[in-house]
Amino acid sequence: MLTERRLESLLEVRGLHTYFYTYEGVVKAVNSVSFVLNRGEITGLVGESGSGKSVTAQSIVRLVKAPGKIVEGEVWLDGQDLMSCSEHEMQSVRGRMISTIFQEPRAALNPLFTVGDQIGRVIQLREGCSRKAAEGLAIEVMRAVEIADPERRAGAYPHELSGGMCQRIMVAIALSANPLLLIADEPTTGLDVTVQAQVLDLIRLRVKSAGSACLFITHDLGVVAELCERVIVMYAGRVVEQGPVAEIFSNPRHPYTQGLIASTLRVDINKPISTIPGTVPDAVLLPSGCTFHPRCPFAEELCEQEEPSMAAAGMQHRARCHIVSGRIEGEMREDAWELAVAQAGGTDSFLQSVQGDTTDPEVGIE
Amino acid sequence: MRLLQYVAKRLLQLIPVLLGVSIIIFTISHVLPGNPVYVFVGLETTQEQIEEITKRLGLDKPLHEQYFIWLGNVLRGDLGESWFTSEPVAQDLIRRFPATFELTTAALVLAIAIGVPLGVLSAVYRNSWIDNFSRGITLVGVSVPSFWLGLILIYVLFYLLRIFPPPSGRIGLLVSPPDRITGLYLVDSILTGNWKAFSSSAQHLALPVMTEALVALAPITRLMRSSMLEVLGSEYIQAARANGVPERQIYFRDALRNALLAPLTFVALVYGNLLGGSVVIERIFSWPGIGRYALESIVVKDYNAVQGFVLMAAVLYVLVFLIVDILYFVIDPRITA
Repeated sequence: MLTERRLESLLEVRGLHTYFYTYEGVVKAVNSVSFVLNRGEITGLVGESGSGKSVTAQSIVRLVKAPGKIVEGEVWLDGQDLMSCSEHEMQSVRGRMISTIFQEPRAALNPLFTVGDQIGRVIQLREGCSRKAAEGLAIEVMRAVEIADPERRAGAYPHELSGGMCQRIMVAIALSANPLLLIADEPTTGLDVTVQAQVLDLIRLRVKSAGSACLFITHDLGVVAELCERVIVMYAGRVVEQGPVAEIFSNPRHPYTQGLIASTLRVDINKPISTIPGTVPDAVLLPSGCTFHPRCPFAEELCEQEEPSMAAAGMQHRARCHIVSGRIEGEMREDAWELAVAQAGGTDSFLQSVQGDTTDPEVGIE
Repeated sequence: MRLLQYVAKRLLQLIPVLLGVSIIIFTISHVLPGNPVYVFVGLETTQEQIEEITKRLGLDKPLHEQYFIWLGNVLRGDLGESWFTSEPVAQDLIRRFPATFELTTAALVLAIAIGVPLGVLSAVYRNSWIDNFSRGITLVGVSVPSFWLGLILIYVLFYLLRIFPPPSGRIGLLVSPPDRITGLYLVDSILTGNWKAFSSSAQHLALPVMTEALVALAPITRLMRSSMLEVLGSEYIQAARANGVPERQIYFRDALRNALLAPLTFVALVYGNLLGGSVVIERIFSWPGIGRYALESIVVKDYNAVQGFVLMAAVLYVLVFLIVDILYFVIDPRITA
């Protein structure tokens, strides 16, 4: 049982804290984040902008930009603790064991070098082969991601290629390493839909065939549903819910996840689109207790006072909510978010109406 | 091939620019108050004599006609005669230009050789001792006027410490200059194997070069630092790191080339400016360059000389920018012909 688990899990993040020390105060961008990524699985990491998704990814490869700093936590990759590696050792982890694909493919390529040169360079560093051999390999790598006429394209500069083509090249560089872990940070955000589908297919195919793990950062739940096996939901630097995709989409337990799902467009169901009221809280002055409570339709006094801990919500399914843990005896009405939109015009009346609907006056605090 | 095309195109573009420059220079010198005829004549001159001289100088013709005559002369290399030196202005300028060129180029090379690495290091090791050190140097360079700096250097390094010779021009008074090939004393003395002249002219160069270099060094260092910081924070540098590229390679291969783009224009600006003669520094060090020539000509109202000097300075400026544009074209593939 134990050995089997060890084989399956590839990356384990335990209690990761990454803080940014700004003039306004300390921003807890990643706050006690723990999760496991399994081999051959794609895990979606979702959340609004500023929820700490990208910083989590940067923390894994230890490339957090100043003034950010990894304060504590462990990151185990295939039995090796990356946090205790030297910077030199990390350099051989990056681009070999862990590859990263970035959001803006054009910005992620150096404008002054040809793409063939840039791919070849990474290959040369990794394989220690000659420049000439690396250039040959670069063309093979480009062909593997279905770039037509790779010999000619290798001599092109990034500004001469389309965004989709640049992203293929980033994917080519990332996948040519056969990495244990692929981190994809919103890799399809700027691309048009057909190109997006091609890039996703490419990632899926390579992750599955190589048995790597993939952390796929996105705010597009549609992509998660289509691509991922597991999903981690982050809010204000914390993981608020995680579990298998099928489980979370059919039975979201955290109010924030429910709100996210309710606010996606569905063509198959005739329902109004709802939104989550309010905005992501100020990163310096986080709300007390559960950071989501000011936006939560089910919030009670306890939520303001005490931060909930992760509680089991089903098979491999955990959520950070007092209702899930049973500290608050309440029921989350599935249609709360939709009702809210149907009934209310503004955010304030929306909050009142939802709270009025769902809050049982007799619910006590344990 | 692409490069040749680009150079040809840029050279063609110079024609209207230089024509515009010539019109401006001509107009300014002709609308200035004061009749140049009075420079020739004494107080006792009759009206007829004045009219005759005006006619002889061609000043009675319409302004546009005068311009074309002047332009025709300029194109034939005739900038008129200096009333002060009684030599053709073109010849005066050509004889003095190597002194300015040698000083300016040496100063700029020194400023770049120190400023670029210093800027890069202060970006890479931000807020370290080296960053603070460079901040101090650049603060001095920006805030201290060059004439004061020149005088202090002369006082300390010549008068007190006797490390360098007095500010008496390009070469020691008892040393004969090298045979003229390029007019640059350092180059000529190497070419002719005249080591005595080489050592003397190198020593005489030292103080004015240090003065001029420090003035140019400050902004080059600051610009290099900020440019490097910006590049190091960019996505493609983050991507290179994520691909396991070692830091040293990131600095010197990925970042440096990008970071050099912004300061390049500034260097051109400084060089173009200094090539037009740094009047103050040439004056302090008795440097026989075109800056000092211009100053002397202005003092004695030597119009032809001033006009010739301004034209030359403008042409040099334009040429420096042409060279920089070509450099950009070579470095940055995003620039198309």
